[in-house]
Amino acid sequence: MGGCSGCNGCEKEFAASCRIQNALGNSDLDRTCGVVLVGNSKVGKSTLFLKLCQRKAEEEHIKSLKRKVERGYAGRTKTLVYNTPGLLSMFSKNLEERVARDILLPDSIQERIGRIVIVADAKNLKRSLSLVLQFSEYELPMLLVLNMTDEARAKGIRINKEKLTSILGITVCETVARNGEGIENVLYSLDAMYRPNGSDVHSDEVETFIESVKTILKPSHISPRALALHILTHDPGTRRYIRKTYSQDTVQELYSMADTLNGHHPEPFGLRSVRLYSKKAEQIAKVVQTQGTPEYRRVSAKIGQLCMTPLTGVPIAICVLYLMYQFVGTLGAGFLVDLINVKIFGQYLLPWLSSLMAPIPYEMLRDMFIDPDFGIFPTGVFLALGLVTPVLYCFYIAFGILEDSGYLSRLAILLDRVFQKMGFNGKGIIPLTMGFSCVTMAILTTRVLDTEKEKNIMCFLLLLGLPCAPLLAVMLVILGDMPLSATVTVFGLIFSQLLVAGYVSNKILFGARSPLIMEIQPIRFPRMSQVLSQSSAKTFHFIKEALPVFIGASILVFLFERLGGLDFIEKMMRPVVCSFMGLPEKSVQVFIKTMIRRENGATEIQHLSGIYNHLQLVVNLLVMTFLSPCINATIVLIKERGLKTAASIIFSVMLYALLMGGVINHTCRFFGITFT
Amino acid sequence: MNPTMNQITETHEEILESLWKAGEQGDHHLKNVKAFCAVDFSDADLAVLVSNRLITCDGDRLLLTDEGKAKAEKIVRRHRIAEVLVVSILKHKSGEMERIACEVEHNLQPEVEEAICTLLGHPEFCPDGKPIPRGACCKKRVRDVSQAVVSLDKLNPGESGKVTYIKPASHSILEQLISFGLSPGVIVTMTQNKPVYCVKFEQTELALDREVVRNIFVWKFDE
Repeated sequence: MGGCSGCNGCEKEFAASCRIQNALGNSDLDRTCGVVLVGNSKVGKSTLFLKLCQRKAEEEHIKSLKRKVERGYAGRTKTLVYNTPGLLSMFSKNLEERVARDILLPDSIQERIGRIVIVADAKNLKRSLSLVLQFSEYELPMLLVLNMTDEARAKGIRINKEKLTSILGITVCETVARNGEGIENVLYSLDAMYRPNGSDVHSDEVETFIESVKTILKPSHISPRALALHILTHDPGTRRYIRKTYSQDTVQELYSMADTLNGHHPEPFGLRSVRLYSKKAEQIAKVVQTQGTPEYRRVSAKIGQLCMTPLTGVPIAICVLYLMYQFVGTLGAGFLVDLINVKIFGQYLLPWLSSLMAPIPYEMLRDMFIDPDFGIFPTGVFLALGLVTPVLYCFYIAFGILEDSGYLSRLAILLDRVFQKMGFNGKGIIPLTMGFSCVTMAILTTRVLDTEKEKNIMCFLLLLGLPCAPLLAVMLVILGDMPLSATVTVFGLIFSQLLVAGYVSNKILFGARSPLIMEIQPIRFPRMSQVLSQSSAKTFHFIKEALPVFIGASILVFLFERLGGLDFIEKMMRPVVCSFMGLPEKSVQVFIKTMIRRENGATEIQHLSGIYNHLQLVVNLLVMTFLSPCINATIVLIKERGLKTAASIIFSVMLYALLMGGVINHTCRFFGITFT
Repeated sequence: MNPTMNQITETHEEILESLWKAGEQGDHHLKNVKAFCAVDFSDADLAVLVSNRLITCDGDRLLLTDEGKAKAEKIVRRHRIAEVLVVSILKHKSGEMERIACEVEHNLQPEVEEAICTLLGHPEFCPDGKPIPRGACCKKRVRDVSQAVVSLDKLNPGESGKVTYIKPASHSILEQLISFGLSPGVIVTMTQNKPVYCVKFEQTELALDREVVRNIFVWKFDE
């Protein structure tokens, strides 16, 4: 795959060319190899990536991390560029941050990465310089991109590029990625990358170790220097690679040498190194950077402050959430769904399709496409495109605005205390908010959390209690026709049980919560063009992935129904569904579709809502919210958390959902609440 | 003009100090000043002091301006307090006293200076019998040394301090903090302490839990 014709299957040549490059110094560059973008978070890597690849990005799977990375071709060249999640240091233990170093291992992706681009926030040079020094250990050609130079200038920061180039030995580019400033220069410089000068921070003892590793691991397809450092920190990715590539004896020898060296120091190697790199980075920053008088941005700083202080922050948060609800609920789920699903699809497209299908002589085949209850078009295509897509798009825009403006980190600060009680810290806001769009994706973002306990609790809560965007859309549409008490009951129950479940699982589960250490982004006006284009890309990605499943599920349920299977299950489930939870028999259909894809079930209930009474709708919506680990979410959960944990999470969630359904049904009936 | 040209260096501080000492004797001539000064200096150094309005030249007589006097007073005070500390508490010989005091005078932070002065009982004379200029703490007759180094959670919103030490309660937390650029020597400002602690330093703002903040120790600044 891909444009690297020179690298595939010619590892010996690569190693040889590395040696030649070493001999020639900096002059040679293997242009057939991929480029990886590395940098702290929020330095504009993704913006730069999109500009470099002109928005044509695709994804590739990293097997060892069970994760996808974005990649694309730079400009009109055949150079593959990979984007990685932001990281604090090369030795970080966080799963997301490991991507940047795991991708450099020769067996992680199909392409071989031979060049590293460090993307830096020009305002915060010191931190990025530390990364440059760290990644220089890979002895690969590098490029330093100083991004957001406009903001740095506004803060009065001047950086002497020539001096920086001569100290680091690599090309330095200046960009304002979001305006496209300096992108041409970066594209050009991708072909003018040089090996950096060594970091030169390690003690003789460590250098001796590196030398021995070099002799032992000869020849290697990746800098033995970098491997040596990762051996000292017991990096799991490196350990896996070395185990796979070298003999058992070699592995044992290496790690026992590392343990001997580490035994001499009370502090772990990673910490000691990070300290050395930071120190050197600080020294370099002092030489190349001058601080003039900043132009104060008092207004935005003041707004940012107001959002974090509880007294003003809580009312602001309520306003923001209300606006978001209005945007997604009223505009998306109300206006757009009505326009697309009811008017365009229902009034024009469906009659037109029916007339188109009329000549087909087999009734079964006709029904398969246009049967209002089971047909592919009404229950598959139309619901996916007309109901789910507009709401999801609105949600992505709202979420993008919150994230891009820097508001999300302030919400995390406000909620940290509450989250502490639930066993995780403010960073949990990211998976939780994502959970309102798609639980499957939210489970993937639990990687930003640090401890196992936090991840387990978060996955449990996500599966248990969060209505994903499509379900939310349907809820908003259905609840819109009912009295406010129904909305309050449904959302009140969802949120309060989230709190209770979090609190209880925090008490029950072993392990620790990691304390909050989170960077607060300066508040700024969101860049709408970027928010819109990213939302469009995400929505498109969703359609691409979900539409086939929707159609598949429709066909499956259609055939199942025609074969009489649906009737059978409905009868089987009758005691639980009808008597215990008080739902109509047909809701079994809803549950089956829910299991296949959550939003699929959600659209089904909207479709069937005519046969429900209000109480039944409330109960069914709640049970769906609690119950439904869709197939995707289940698969991702098993991958992320392991079969045993996943099974116990799913089992407790399902049991809980059925119980809750029954309890709510009987409680409401007992008190005579009907939501009418 | 190059801004570094005008910066006050340790040499300039030495000149101010010797000007003060010469003034104590009532002899403001350049020759006398040079005799007191521990380091050699050039006319260019004097020009810097003049351009900073710290001294004025009157023929070969050098005079401190009001601003220069205030600065010199502080330097002399730090030097002589350091002398008392070195001799009476650390029990060094008087030969070493001068050398150590010379080093200390340039690096002693104001908070530490007050703490030491209070600890020594606000001494009025140095071991050589020369008067020690009085500081704010002497005038207020401060009795107790307020803790100069405090954990970061003791700072109120708006207060700042310089990081002296981060207790490695957890190696991974320490590693993260250093990677964020928070290490000893960095000046941090507390922006808020509820519901979580928010600190600002350089171009970074971090939200931190109490268990992180209380392991970070800072020299608290007064203003």
